[in-house]
Amino acid sequence: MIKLLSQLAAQIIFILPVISLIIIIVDRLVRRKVNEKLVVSTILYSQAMSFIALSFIWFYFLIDGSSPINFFKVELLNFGEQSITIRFLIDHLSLPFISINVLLGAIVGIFASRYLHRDSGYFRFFVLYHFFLFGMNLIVLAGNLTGVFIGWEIVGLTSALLIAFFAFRKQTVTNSLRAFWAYRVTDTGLLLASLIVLNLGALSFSELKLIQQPMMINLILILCLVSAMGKSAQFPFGHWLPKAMEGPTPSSAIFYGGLSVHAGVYLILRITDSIGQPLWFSVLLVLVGLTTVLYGSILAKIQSDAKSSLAFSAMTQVGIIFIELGFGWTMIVIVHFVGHALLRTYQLLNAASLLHDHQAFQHSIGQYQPKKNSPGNTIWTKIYPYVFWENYSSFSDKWSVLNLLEKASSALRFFDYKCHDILFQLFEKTYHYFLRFKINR
Amino acid sequence: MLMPINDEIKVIDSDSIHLILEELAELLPSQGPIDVFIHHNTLHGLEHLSFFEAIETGAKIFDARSYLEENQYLEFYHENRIQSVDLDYILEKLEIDSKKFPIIKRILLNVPFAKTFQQIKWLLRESFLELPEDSETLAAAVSWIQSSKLQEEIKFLEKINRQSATGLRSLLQATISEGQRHEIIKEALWSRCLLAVVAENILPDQNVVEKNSLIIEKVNPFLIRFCEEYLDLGQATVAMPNRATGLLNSFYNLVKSSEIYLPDWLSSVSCSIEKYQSQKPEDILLEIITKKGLNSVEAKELIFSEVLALKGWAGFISSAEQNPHYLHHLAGEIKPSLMEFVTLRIILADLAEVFCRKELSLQREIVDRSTLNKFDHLYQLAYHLYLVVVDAREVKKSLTDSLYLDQILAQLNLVPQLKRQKIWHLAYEENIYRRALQAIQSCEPGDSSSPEIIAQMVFCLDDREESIRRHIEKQSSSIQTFGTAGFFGVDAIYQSISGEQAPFCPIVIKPTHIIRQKPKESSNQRLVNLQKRQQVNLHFNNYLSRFSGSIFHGWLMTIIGIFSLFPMLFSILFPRLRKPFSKFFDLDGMLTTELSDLEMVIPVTSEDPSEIAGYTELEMADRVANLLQTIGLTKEFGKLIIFYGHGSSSRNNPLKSAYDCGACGGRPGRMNARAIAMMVNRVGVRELLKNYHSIVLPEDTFCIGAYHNTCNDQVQYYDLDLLPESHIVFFAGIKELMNKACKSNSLERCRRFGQVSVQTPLAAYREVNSRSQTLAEPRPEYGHAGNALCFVGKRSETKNLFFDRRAFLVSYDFQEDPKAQILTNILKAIVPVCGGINLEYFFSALDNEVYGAGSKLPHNIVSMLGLMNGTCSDLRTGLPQQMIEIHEPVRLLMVVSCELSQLQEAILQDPTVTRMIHGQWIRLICWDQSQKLFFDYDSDGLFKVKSVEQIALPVTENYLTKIIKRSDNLDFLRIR
Repeated sequence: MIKLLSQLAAQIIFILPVISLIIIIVDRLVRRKVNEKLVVSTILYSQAMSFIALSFIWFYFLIDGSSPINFFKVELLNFGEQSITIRFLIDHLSLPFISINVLLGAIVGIFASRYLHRDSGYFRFFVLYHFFLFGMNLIVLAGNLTGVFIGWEIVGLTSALLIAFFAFRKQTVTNSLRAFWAYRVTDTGLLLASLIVLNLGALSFSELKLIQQPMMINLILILCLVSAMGKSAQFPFGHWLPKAMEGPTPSSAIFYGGLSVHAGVYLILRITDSIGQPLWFSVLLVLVGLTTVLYGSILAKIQSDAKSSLAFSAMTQVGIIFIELGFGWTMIVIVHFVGHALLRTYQLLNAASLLHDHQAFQHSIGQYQPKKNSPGNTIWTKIYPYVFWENYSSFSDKWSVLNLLEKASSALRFFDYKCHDILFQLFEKTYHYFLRFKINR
Repeated sequence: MLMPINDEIKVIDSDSIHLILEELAELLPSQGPIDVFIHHNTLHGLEHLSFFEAIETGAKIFDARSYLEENQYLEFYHENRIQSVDLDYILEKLEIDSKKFPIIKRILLNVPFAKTFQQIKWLLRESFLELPEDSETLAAAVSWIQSSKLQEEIKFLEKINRQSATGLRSLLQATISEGQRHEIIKEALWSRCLLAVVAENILPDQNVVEKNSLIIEKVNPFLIRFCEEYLDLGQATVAMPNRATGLLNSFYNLVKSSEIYLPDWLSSVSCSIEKYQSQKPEDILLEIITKKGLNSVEAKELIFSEVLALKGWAGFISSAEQNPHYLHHLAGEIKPSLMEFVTLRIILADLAEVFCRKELSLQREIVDRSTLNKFDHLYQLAYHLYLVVVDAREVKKSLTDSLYLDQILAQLNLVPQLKRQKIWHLAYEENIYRRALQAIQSCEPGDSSSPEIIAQMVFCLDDREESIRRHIEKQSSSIQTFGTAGFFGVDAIYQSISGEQAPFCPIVIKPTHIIRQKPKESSNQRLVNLQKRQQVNLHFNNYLSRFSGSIFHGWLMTIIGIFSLFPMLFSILFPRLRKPFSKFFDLDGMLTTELSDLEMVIPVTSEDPSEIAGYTELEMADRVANLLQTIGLTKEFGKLIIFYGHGSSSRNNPLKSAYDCGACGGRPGRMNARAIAMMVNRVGVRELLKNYHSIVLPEDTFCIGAYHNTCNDQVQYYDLDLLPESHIVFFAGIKELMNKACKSNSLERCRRFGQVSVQTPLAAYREVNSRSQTLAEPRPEYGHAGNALCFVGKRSETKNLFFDRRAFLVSYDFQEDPKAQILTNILKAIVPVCGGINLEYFFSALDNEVYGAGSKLPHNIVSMLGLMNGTCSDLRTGLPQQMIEIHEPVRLLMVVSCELSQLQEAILQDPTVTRMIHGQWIRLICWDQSQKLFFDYDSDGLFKVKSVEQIALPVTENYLTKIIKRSDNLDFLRIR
């Protein structure tokens, strides 16, 4: 009985973003204008229902936490004897992630419903927001790599579209493309990995253990790592993260402080949980984490605007989580993830208070007391210029790995400016498409 | 870009470079660090011009809009916000022949909004306009089509554009059938219009020089990053080293010590660094300009266009150079200099240009779009003509009579777009002016037998206090309210307990006195505890924000970070529950109420000339007497006089200071209210007032300083422990009344907020309280968004008028002021303050992307001094979209109730006042109540009688319940 009910609860959590999405889109098409009240109440109701459902699932796991909840099955393709089926389930690994999804989804949703009031992109934002939550749910609830990959793509797409929320500024579109491009390159990993898995006939994560070929296992691991590094902004793919803070504050908070940036962590946890973690992979994880931590923490020190500095801090902490993953401390990873997601989201939402907090602090510690932030004649004086240029290089053409990749593709004479144009037009078209409803009225 | 060029073309030298930079510095935005936001005229650099010249010049320089778009005005017209009578009045004022009014109005109302000729063609094909289809018109159309003249003109048109001639040709060959009447008449009329336009208008070619966006894209991101880190006031943990050597030297250092790391386009700079370092910036500038072979005019154009591409940063650098205190404690360490910034910009632009030319084989493009523009323009004009003719129902006449079309065309050419917009704008302003004047005219001064006055309340003149004064007066007619500049004449530097000093007076006044906050002896221990508590809180916040980037601290705090769930929940979902917590740590609130005292008598102790003294009792008496005389309160004192300073509290709002009191220099006015009350209460001061100023304050008159929070409508009272026992019960009554007024005020304010539907005062009060506490609110209040009027005169002249929080109300009694001395002082204070507020809102609303700060949603605090969009943009100055979205951009109408001679005298005394008023930046009107006449100050410097149609405004009862259902701007009402 409890099992049945908890299955229902899981289905509710999974499907609610889609229902909300359909409700607001249908309403928009029927009424031909944005109905802010309806958007707000869909968020309130859907998040409240998810919350109740979530507490029920927690209840289930506390009483009888042994077996995962299998709650949904969908058949994508059928080739006769073989078919691609995605199962959805909640187990001890997905539970903390889905909880944070629901919690931050609710908080940021309510924040945004007030914050974006009267903005011309109100409707667009919430379509993308629900779609993104659905993508996140897919990632953490899917029982095989194909499902994760679909969610992964949804999250990437909504992320890029929200960075370019203010598409009339060229800078935002450029930065959106930067993120989109980094996702595109690294997502190949997950795509290949899921194709390999399908090819081997293994369907769910639990069946991955049955794979015999060590080569294939290694390949799957390394491909997943590449994807995880892209989504979680690990060195050398992390350049897009600080530039991604172009959208409205709530979207920056939920993507790059809360959920999307930790998707890579979940993927690694999930994949090592099911096929084990060879020593070389642990070493690799620690190395990736360590480089990111060093890189991020050095660059974080010279950031002079609130959101970039939070972005580099996030990068650093996710790097530490990667190190913890390398050591196999699952429990610490989860605690760290929860703490980091909550704190960073709060800091980003609260970023505009920084100036007045700083002033208050300065005043309380006494008048005109200089802050010890000038490096004097330390090592910083020597390395500062290098750090400066490294920081700047994400805009320029030298040294950044991502830029080298872009250069390589520009040899094909397609991705460089043309791709830019095409995407810019795409954004513009979408934008005008949304606007058309207004004009037709 | 078009520049106002009036100097002669000459060879450039270092003197002319300095001149160019001076002119540039005037034009740049002069906004300091955003923690103190002072409203000022956005186009202060063009204040020497008259208003309309300035906005049109500004539009050219900054690439901004001069007026709202024509379709917006048309919308206003259809909403009745602009009425036909307003247009008539304006046309008359512009001295246009009254016979031409109908045709000009037709021209104004039938503006085509299509921009390109393709759009117009599409519109012609697809949109349906009602045309007369009688046989006479058809015959006229047919005869026109068949006339030989058309043949010739098609040939003529072919020379200009082949495409448009083919349509006419096909028309010529078409056979005429009954069913096509409409089509034929339409085509004939259209071709007639087009040919008329083509024959008349051959526009001169205009070269449009496109800025090379590739170069700007290279230079801007680097320069933004560089300025950000050079000017950082404490965001980064590690600041740029050796900033004291100057902007350029810091750049050289960056380049020199890491040459291999430079981006491509910059790498060639390293060879010239050595040379540059030995030169002065102006010489480098000169060298580059001479290398390019530019004369002084071209050089000016180059410098302007390059620097204005980052006008926010340039403006901050320029104003921080003049006001080193903008940099707080880093004043000695950072050396901003506009000259160095300009030089750096030009060096970089030069490098980028060379690079782009070489690597991408790109010329500095000069796109000549004139042919296209001209063609579009002709089509627009023809379509405009077409619409006007159709609207005038003169289709037949225009097909037969060629002179008729030419006449209309001549009229069309007389009112080009800018002129049309100006007419619209003037009418837009005239509408609200007219309604305001009608309201003022219809107000009957209250009956002379007013009940005995029991208390007086003095407010700031702020437009947001207009409503609360109304609500107080509604409850009790024996309470008098006054409005005056919110610093209450206390022009002092205020030193808080922590030692921070700031001037609490309008920026035009240089304070010469100091007031210190000091702990009360009895409450020392509590104060220490409180300070400790607050410091723990602040240190914790500081730790969170500063060390979250480091490895170990960051790790530690993310583990504790789980607990940030609670503040997040409280600040977003249940903001009102958060209040006890914030109160627990709020030192400022607690301090001023119970634990501290103000020290005002501070003698100078040392010889140090920079030391500032407090007030002597004589000086206090002067200030008090001045204030009381200004507001006309010299007799009939009540039992209590309460001074309400005001400010605003909101969270997560970098522009918080823009909601505070402008007359207190963008700070909350609580100190000033408290100080003035303490001054009046001093026995010595009262004695002096009696002896020297013949103001006799009765012994049982007691003064209280208070603080009204305009965001959450809460009121704090200060020094209540000094309240005499005889007054305690009386005060409780007044307080209750004020609380009720505050709640009604909240209700009145709530109608403006979307997403909110509250019906009762209490619910509204709760709503505004949660607004001021939540993290998620980009518009905690609407600030001055209504401002449009300023009334200087007795309250009885505006009593029972509902101004919809749109009027600054200044108390002034002209009968007490025969020499116009008081009026002069009032104007000196309110013209810069109210005018500044009004013009800041005006320009931010006019073109929010150029003059304003754009949407608040992607804002990001940069360098602890300002805002930018996202991760890399120019410093945003002005007001964000969320603050001005309901503002109507009209100039301030200042109505002064006095005799004409007094006003004529007063406006000549201060140069700023004269300039603002003479340049029509503020519209000044004199209201002579005895003759019931308005005198309008015209652009030629004379007062002219302005006739206002007398309308007896009906008295509206229970207006509050009626207006809360509406969220738009309301008419002015008479209320009871």
